[in-house]
Amino acid sequence: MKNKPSKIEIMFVGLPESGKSTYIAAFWNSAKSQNGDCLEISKLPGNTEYLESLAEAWRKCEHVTRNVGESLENLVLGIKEYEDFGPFDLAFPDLSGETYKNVFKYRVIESDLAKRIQSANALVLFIRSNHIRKPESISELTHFLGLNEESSPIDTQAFTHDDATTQVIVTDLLQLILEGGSHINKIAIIISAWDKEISKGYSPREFTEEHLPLVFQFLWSNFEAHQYEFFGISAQGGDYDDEAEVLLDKENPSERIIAQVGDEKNADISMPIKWIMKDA
Amino acid sequence: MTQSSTTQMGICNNPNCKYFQDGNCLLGKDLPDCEFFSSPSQYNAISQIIGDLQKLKDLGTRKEIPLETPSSGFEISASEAIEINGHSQPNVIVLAGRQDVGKTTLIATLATLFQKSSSFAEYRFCRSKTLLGFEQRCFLSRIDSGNVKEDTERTPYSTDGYKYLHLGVVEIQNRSSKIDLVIADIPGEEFKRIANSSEKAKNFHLSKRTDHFAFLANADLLSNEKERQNEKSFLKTLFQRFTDTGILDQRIKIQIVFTKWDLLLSKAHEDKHFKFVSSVEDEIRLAAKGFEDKVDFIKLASRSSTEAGLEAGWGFDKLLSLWVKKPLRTTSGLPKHPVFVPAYAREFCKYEFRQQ
Repeated sequence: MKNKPSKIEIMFVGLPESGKSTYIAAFWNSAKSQNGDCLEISKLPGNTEYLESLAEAWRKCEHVTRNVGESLENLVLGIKEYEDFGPFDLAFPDLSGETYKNVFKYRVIESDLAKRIQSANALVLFIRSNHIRKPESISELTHFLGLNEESSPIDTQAFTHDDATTQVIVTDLLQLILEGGSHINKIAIIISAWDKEISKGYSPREFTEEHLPLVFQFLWSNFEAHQYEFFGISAQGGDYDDEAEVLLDKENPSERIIAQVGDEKNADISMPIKWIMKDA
Repeated sequence: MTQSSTTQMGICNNPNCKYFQDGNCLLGKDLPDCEFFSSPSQYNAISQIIGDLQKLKDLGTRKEIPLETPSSGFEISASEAIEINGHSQPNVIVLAGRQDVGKTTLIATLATLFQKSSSFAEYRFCRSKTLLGFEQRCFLSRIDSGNVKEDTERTPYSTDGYKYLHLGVVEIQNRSSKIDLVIADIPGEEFKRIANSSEKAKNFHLSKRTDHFAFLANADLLSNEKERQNEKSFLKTLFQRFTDTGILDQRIKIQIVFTKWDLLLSKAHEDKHFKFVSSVEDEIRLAAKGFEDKVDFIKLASRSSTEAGLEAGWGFDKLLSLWVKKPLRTTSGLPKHPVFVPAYAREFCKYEFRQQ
């Protein structure tokens, strides 16, 4: 067996409501249940209160709400052997989206977060497929709506950080995190809420290239091809408002999950983590 | 959020300074503007030059200090521009022209083109220290601003010195070819003063480090009977001012950029306007005698126009392909990798940004 690390540390990065906590909830449930293709827990961690609180809501098809707080939750799960990987610890600090939003806005990385970044091998970046702000120009809209120069402005705003497009925020965040001492050499981009996109026939890579071209270019320019990958994940499996009944009907809740990389589709929520483990 | 130390580290090379004890710079400056301050990259560069790591470690103290990350994300200063050190020095670009000629819109459009598509003009986005600066300049042309007519915020005049924007790109066919562009966003009033004063033109120190000098002229005004002579006159005067002072030497590549070309095309009597623009080009070539082969003429349309049949960003591919070309400067007198050198060490080089 090839010499594999005994611990993998992953940074989970994403803005508020990008799907991190829902992913963790679904991963915990699947890994603990030990059915399906997901990686499996080798032993329960000491304190599972936080994980169970997330998973409980997920199982009931209720929106997962992360406890907002400033302390870092450093989740470490013991994972069973998988393929040529011996048993290992999987660590991922669960930081709120507000933490990363503040990094972008205030340009400061607290030393605790900096230490997490410096010890991480990999980064998983969450971007919600239906929460993407795009650079839409006025000329595109006025042409479409037939407006003219004599029309009065609705209410001209001054620029704030929140007005930046999603791809600018995400790319800038990646730059801030990756510069200065990071050892991260693998980046998984998770396009969450993938249930809304899967029927359109895109692969997650094609989706990123089309809707987040700056992110795509940043990865292409700064990393080798094997160092980054794009995943489409729906940890919910569908819209709770419209499809809860169908989703709850599945005996095994893990079957709700949608996971895609390239053209490969299944219900394995641990797909991005398995990719990170490959060649580790 | 509680205040705590960041990942930024610095070193003060002045053994008499107690910044790291009491937070007060001996010279009364803000880091990293103090000449004794070294960032980690500078520290390593200095180590290589001097070749005595132990001597440096004995000087000053080293500690994590509560600094913000060097760039606000909006603009960078000259000293921050020097920090950009990729495969080679960045290409420095000056956009020269009066107010409303479209300097800032040009900058905003260039950045937007990389957000609209996964590549542009055979290049891909690589990095930028000023993504927010580009976004801010684009904002008034976007739906989210609440405007119904595209607009660009005027560049304010500042006594703090020029501000720069940074865009790093990679050639798709040659991934090892990474080029950093540092674009000076200078208000039009400055060039109005320069056009009126040879002294000001001579004191435009940025030109010593400029690789591309783009003179902008408004094609909308050049195709307006009442305005066209003034627009031509200003362009020629500004060009002549820099030529006369010897600043536009053989090292610098020059572009004459006709902005708002879509507005010219949407007017009647197109041929008449083309002829006038052509006469402007001829007069510039005459003024550039001796180095006219260094001058390129570009027509741009930042905004899309149905009447003119032009898409937003028309002409920018040609401009970018010029700007990414390696500068003509030789290494004589100029460092390959500019560094701050502490006063106590021999000065191997001076970086001419500092002569501003």
